[in-house]
Amino acid sequence: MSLKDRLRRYNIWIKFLILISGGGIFFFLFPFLLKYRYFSYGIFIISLFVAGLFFTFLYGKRGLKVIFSLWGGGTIIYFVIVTLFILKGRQPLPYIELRKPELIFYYLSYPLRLLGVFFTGLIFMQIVSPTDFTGWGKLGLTIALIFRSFEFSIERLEMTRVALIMEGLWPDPYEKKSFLKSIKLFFKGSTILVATAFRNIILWFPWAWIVFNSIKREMGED
Amino acid sequence: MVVSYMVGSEELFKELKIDIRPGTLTLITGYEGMETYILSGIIAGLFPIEIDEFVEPLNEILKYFNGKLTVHSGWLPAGAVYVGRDPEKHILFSRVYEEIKMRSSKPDIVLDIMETLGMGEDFINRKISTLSGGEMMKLALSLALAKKSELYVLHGIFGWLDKTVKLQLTKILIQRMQSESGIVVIDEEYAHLLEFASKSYFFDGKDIHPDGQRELEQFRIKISNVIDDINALLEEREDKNNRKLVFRNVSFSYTSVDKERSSFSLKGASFNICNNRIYALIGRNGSGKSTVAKLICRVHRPDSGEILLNGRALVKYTREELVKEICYVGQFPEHQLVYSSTGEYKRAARKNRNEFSFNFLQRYFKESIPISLLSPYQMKVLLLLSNIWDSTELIILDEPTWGIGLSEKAEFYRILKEIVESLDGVSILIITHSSELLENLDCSVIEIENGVIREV
Repeated sequence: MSLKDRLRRYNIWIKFLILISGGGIFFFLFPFLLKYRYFSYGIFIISLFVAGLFFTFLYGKRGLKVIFSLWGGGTIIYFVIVTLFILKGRQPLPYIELRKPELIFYYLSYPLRLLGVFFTGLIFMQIVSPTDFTGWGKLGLTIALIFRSFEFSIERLEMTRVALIMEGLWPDPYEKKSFLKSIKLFFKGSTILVATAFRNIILWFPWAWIVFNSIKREMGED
Repeated sequence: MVVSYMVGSEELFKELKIDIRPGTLTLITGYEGMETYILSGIIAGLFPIEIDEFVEPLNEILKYFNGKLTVHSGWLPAGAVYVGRDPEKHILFSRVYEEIKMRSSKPDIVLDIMETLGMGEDFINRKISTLSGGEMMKLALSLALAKKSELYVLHGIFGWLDKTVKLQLTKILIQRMQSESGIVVIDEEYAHLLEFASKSYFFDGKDIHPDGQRELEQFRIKISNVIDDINALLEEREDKNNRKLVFRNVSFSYTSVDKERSSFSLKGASFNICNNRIYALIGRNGSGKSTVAKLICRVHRPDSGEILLNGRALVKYTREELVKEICYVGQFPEHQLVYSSTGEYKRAARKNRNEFSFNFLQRYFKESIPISLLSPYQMKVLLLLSNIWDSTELIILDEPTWGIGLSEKAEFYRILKEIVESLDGVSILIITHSSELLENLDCSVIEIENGVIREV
């Protein structure tokens, strides 16, 4: 049995526990990073490595490459903005006053923490199934529909991206174009991508909802 | 049964008379649009539904769902089993085994039907998103037909299925009829069912005509004539020595793209597409027909071998050049239409200096209409007209008439004929399951089976 299948068989609450612990370690560990330093740095780095490893097992090297390119792109833009914040000494947290070195540490560690959250969230998405919720009765079925809508929107997003490539409105992975041209196309295409995916969900949802209700009825009769 | 359906103050259907009885097959064909969806939903007992609150962007669609239904007389079962045109709407979970486990108390029956429809055990662990459209439809049908019901309503499903599966499904439907279940099939592919149908109707979007064989025959002749015209036009110009597209030993597998689809692979495929000729690419569900189209459009890159367009390697083309030479119209136009209205398409054509496309768009879409309000037929036409250039050399049509009614099929081919007339030289590659279309076309057939391509 593959690791994915093993994880998928876990109880939904264990899956939630994985999600919450990931969120806790990567996002809310920051005050502890400041207080316990090397010990918590160690926990943080090991957790990030383990999450990355699990992510690679589940999504493959290609998935890791995609996530790194998305994260890397975002991080570059983030660093441009954050440099200004650091120079101005802008405090990031409303509840805690950070000194300059801590402030720099906070800003610089942020992308890594975000990467950890990405990993955990996507691991959760891969191991959780809509069937996990059906034991919760009507509410569970509704969650299953919402989950399906989410999966559907991801699939649609990919289909629309392919359509955009075909029409020359998205960077072609097999064509060498200048970085600036690709970035320009990427930003221009992103708006269309999101708007089209949203429109397709709107077109899909009413019928899916009706069919979902008839499925719900059939499942009750079965 | 005799039914009427009011949407607001509009009488959508007035005393439609359809003979539906236990143990019989009723066939409805003709027009395909929102009205057909509503009609199938009424017969299946899905409509009307109660909606407490309308949501602004969905108003135009939802208003049809909560109309006022009056059953004047006859039999309308409370809960029929319904399978509609889009199988994705019938799938709730992520994997095939989850779907079977959660949706049926008799998984053995579902598995038996799946087996009969050509889906073996290797599909059980597949992720739904990795199934082809036809495979997804077979799963939806297996789940539906495993349930006992007084009435089965099947709308637009046959276009998804290859010839063998169509025959198998017909056998299952006959068995259900023998168990006294009523069957209603609403489909533009109906020829193979005619001999089993107790009644066949022609639906024009408003009224239903009993024994609509004359209307059907008229449309069939009309379609056949237009296709003959296209064939004749291309035959005059045919140039067998001019190879437009060459597939040379092309191998491809999804291993590098998607692990879950790693079972599919194209093995050393070779074929040619010559100038001014129609080609049909056929094959069973999930055999990789659409993958071939994606390789031609350079959405995927072959693992080995090469694809040449006009003697030049496809990889050496810029995307801009490809857009101007290949026009691809997919099976689901809504996936490809990325602008929000027909007006935006006209503006884009102008901006790209594509006067050829603009003139066609101007003629067929005078007003600006939001994409969400277009019928499947209008979407296909819009996609075809917006992707065409005067430099287009290859038109790829993936199931061109899937989801559009008989009357609109003839119109679609007429528009295609106009395009072919206006271009100097063009080849057409049609990906299809439709045996009716294949019979009409004077074309070369390329068959794909188990990853191997052969020219028939």
